[in-house]
Amino acid sequence: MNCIIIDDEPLARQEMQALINDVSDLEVLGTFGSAPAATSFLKEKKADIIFLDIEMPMITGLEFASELPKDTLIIFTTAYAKYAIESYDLDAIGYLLKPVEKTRLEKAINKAKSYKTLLSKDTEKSTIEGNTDDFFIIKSDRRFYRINFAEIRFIEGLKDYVIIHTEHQRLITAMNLKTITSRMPQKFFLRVSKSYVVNIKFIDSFDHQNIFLSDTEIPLGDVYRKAFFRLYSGGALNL
Amino acid sequence: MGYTKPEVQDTKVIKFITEDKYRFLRHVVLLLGILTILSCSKDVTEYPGSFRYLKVLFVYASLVFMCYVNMNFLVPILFFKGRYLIYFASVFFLVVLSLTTLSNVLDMYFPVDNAFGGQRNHAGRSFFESIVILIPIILVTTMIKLFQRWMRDNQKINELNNIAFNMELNELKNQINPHFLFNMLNGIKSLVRTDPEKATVVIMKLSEFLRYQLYENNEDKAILKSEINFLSNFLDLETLRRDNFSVEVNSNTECKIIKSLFLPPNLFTTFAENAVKHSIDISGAESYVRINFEIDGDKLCFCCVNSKDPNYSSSSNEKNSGLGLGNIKRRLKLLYGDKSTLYIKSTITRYEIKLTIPI
Repeated sequence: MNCIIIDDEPLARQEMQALINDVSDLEVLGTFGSAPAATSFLKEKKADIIFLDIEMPMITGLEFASELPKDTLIIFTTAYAKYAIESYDLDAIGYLLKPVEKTRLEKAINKAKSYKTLLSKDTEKSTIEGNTDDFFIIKSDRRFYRINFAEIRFIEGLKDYVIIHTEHQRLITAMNLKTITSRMPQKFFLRVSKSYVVNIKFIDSFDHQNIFLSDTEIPLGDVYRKAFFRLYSGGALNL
Repeated sequence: MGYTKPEVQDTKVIKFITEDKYRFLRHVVLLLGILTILSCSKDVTEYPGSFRYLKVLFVYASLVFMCYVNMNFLVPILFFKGRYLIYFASVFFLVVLSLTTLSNVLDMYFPVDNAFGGQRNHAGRSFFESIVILIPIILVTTMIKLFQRWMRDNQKINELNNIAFNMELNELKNQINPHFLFNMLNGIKSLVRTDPEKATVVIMKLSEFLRYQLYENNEDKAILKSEINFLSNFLDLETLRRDNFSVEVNSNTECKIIKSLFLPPNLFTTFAENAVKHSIDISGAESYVRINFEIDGDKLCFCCVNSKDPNYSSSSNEKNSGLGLGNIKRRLKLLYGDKSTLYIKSTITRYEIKLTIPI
């Protein structure tokens, strides 16, 4: 897999490149000081992952991201924490705060890799064939899967797909998050951000920004925070 | 009807009473007013022929004398200084003295005839009456003075509140930009790996930069030397954040003067920040910011030049820096009145500001 880095600060590009080389085998195709410079490069070549700074003159990372082809995976890198939620609206794979921590970068790259694999499968044919109160029947690769709701840890929306994360596997289906949640029992699942629905049974802990499911960290959206606190704590927490 | 503010509105009447440009007109109105009241008073109309005008003149002169002594001496010297008892005693004394003088003068000029003899008895009785009538008239002028002063104080207080508010705003604005700080730390992290020597230098510059922002920034005055250091630290740090960006901070003045000259802090920061912001070159070509300090007699001249990319303009940037520029202009106005000059020259590829302030 390969990637490019877009950041207006030379040292930040240098640092990012060094970190990527440290933690992964990604090939860095190029580093660019501005979005327009990267645009002309992307006309010639294709990058799997883009490490994208947000605060840049002329065209910000957010504006640039909205114009990228749908199969490009974006990892935002920024010093601004306030952009986090907006980046998930653009279906970014990850969001790294500068200075970047190695383990977080590693996680984001691994996530991008597995998504790349998932997305490259023939996902159009994966469909939900039916459901009862307890499970879905999903057809994928000409096979049927029975997914028990009790086994679903969380469901993630990514571009035009949802990824169902169970205890044992990940399944990708062409469907949006709203449609799939409407077919699931409401009392076990909570919407926690624009892109995530979480099974409350698997939640270990949470704070104001994140929800933790064993080793998975899921962002808690501003809009959903209040409702989540109220519903998950059964009204005991009213923050 | 809408809800009106409890403050005194700037109506025409109030403007007439308080503003300096109406001063002459105000006095004319006062003098004519007193004259009209006197001409109509019964005391005077009883006199026949030309005596009448003569007496009006004498009484008028003494009344005007009392009013002006009150307004120009008694009120500012006694009343406004809080010596109220002495003030009222003085007014009383002034009235008694003036009336005595007046009646003596009248005695001298007006022949004693029967009619006047009768009048004298009458005047004797009315001596205390006159005091009772005159003191309120004089106190009216005191009221006018008091009102003027009150209005002016109000204006001053408002202005001071505004200044305090603006200073607070500036302080908020001049707080450390977290975005800048985190990007700086990220850059240093990179340097630690590739060029530890340089990283050390940058950490020192950043420390000095932060020290100034955290401490000296909030003082009333800062030494020009530390202001210059701050600006060059800031610009040096900015060079790390951009390709092909060069900065210069120069001063041809002796170190001794720079180290001993105190100025309000952060007068130049906005200009330097704007210069950095607007010198961005979209294609990554050469860009620069050059700052020069010069002391010329009793004036400090600050000059800041930056390159401009004709293809780069950001409306949001314009707006923000416009606000900063407005604030600093207002601050200069409050600090120096008309004694500071700001000259801006903008071409397609170059932007220059020249600020001259008295020292």
